[in-house]
Amino acid sequence: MTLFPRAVNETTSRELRKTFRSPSEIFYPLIFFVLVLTMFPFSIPPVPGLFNSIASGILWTAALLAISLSLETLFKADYSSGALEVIHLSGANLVLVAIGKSLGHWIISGLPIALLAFPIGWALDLNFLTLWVLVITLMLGSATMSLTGSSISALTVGLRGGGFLLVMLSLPFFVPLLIFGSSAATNASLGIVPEAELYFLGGMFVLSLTVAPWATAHAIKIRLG
Amino acid sequence: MMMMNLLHKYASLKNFYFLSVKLSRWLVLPFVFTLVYGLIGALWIAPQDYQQGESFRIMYVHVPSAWLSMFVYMNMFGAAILTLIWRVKLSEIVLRACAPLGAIFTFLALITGSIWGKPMWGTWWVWDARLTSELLLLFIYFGIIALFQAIEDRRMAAKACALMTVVGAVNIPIIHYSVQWWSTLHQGPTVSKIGTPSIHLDMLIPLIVMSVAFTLYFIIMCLARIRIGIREYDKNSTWVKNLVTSTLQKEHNQ
Amino acid sequence: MSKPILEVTNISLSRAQKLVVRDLSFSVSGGEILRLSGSNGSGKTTILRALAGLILPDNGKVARLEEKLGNITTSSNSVIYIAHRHGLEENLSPLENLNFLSQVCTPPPIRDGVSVLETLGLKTSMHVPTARLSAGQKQRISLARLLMFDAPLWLLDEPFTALDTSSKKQLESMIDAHLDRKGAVVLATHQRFNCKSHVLKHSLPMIP
Repeated sequence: MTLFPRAVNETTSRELRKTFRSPSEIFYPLIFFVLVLTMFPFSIPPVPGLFNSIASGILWTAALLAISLSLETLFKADYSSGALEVIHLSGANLVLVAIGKSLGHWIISGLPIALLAFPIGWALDLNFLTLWVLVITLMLGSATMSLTGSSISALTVGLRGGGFLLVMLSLPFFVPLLIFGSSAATNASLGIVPEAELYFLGGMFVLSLTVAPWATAHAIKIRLG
Repeated sequence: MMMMNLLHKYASLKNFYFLSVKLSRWLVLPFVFTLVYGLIGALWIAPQDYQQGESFRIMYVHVPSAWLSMFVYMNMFGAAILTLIWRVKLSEIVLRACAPLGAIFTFLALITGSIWGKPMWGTWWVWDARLTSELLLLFIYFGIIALFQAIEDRRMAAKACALMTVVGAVNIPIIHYSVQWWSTLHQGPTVSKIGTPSIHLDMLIPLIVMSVAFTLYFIIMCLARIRIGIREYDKNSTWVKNLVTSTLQKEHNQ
Repeated sequence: MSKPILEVTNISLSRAQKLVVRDLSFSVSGGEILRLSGSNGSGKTTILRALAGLILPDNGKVARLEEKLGNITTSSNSVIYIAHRHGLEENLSPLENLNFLSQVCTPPPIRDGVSVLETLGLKTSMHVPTARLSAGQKQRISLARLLMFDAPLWLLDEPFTALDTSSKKQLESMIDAHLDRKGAVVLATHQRFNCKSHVLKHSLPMIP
């Protein structure tokens, strides 16, 4: 199926194949997502119903943190093995490679987390509209994170303190996603269809899709020499 | 055409260095003048605010700081474009020089904003739209500074930070708008009065003068940092070596 | 006299603000092989990376036949650079690694991964995850690009590392064949090796 250019297909397959060969690594983003979630009941006052009322915000925050932390793996292995250099020197189109990598990353982090939010939200007593809105906003938002995050991941690959530096640089840029994503879910829990928020998230996704791959390609070239 | 020749001449590190020395000397007096005039206007001439009494006067430090925190970033953005597209060495130095200054102004805006808010809100911090945006901007500055430190090769670091600055420039308006949208959700239509107050000329003029004073301060400090950067970049050239030895000799003779 | 495949004029290179190479000039024509020698830290890898187009020299010019290095993009048409690190993804098999390269690289390769791996004597390990292979086998796979792609200039950074005697002989004959085709080779290595053609030498001084 030629939905995507061949380089994107190949890069995404490579990412997926690579990850599925280390089965435990597939679950790290998911596990971290649930782990962060679990921290909140311990830290917020035990007012009955409080947790469920802020559940969508907590779900979104946990997703944000889990995805931010998983961004480090995007280029780390390829950079340290020298594969990134080989790919660049062999004349590959780095923009397409960037898109492929972001897509691969989203499939193993953002997508599973978004899907897992459905049963978790259900267990936390959220209504149907909220559940759907959560899943959709998480899918859109996490895709944007994979794209924008890939630029920053490429810029910080291989540096000392790389993981922390990466998260520190990315989080301010993810705040708008968090704002509109969780606001959409909150509105949905009140029964309002969150049109404005969804448009905004869609707009941010399209913006990142058009700008981020080029920034990532440029970042790779900068870091390789 | 003359403009291009001029730009070309001063893109050279050596020429810019000596130009900046002259410029810094010329700017000191205007800076002191505007600062004194602005402070007098702020602390004496401007009348008391009918709502906030005397405490509003911190606005004369807060507003220029906030404005400068954005202005410095715009400068960094310009330098970043020059670095990425034309690889001008001077713009790499400018970029590195501006970042900490921008962070300082942002921090100052946060502190003064918090102080300004205390009499009104009763707490040292609220999640006000302006303050929250400034806080996120501070993190962006920190990130860029950290990135400069993390990469050993100076030129690679400059290029990486230039790209980061451009990515930030795209995102900052989005962040600004999002935080504003978010704060209207949480506070409703009664937005806090930290926005520019009603314009009385006696209040406005010191504000403008203080903003000019802050800008001049930024330029003087930035030029000093740029000179340090130029000396580092051209460390091995004869003109820098001569400069260093003649300065050492002067100090020795004193 | 044909135009040289590689011409280097007065280049200076620095790494992390330290000057590593000063005023280096040489040229390599078709059928010639140049060996860079010098102690560790004398800049051999830095030079090869500059020749590959990954870094720009502080001064001077690196010119390859058919194109001048003006910016950071490299042209895969004219050079194959085999670096120190093997550049393989450990969870994937050698064949998967090479197939990926064939699919994303421009211009497309002249030989497919299977035949190249067979030539290199890795027929049985073709489908084994690369992590399970020995260092010598990984080194052989990293040389696969020399057979898969067609380029006049080869830049080799310690290519004989970890190779056993027969693999070393094979690489030597690959180099000889490339030189016979009027290709050029720039080689950085500590080890002795045999070559049919006369090897030009360039010793690099350590810059304090």
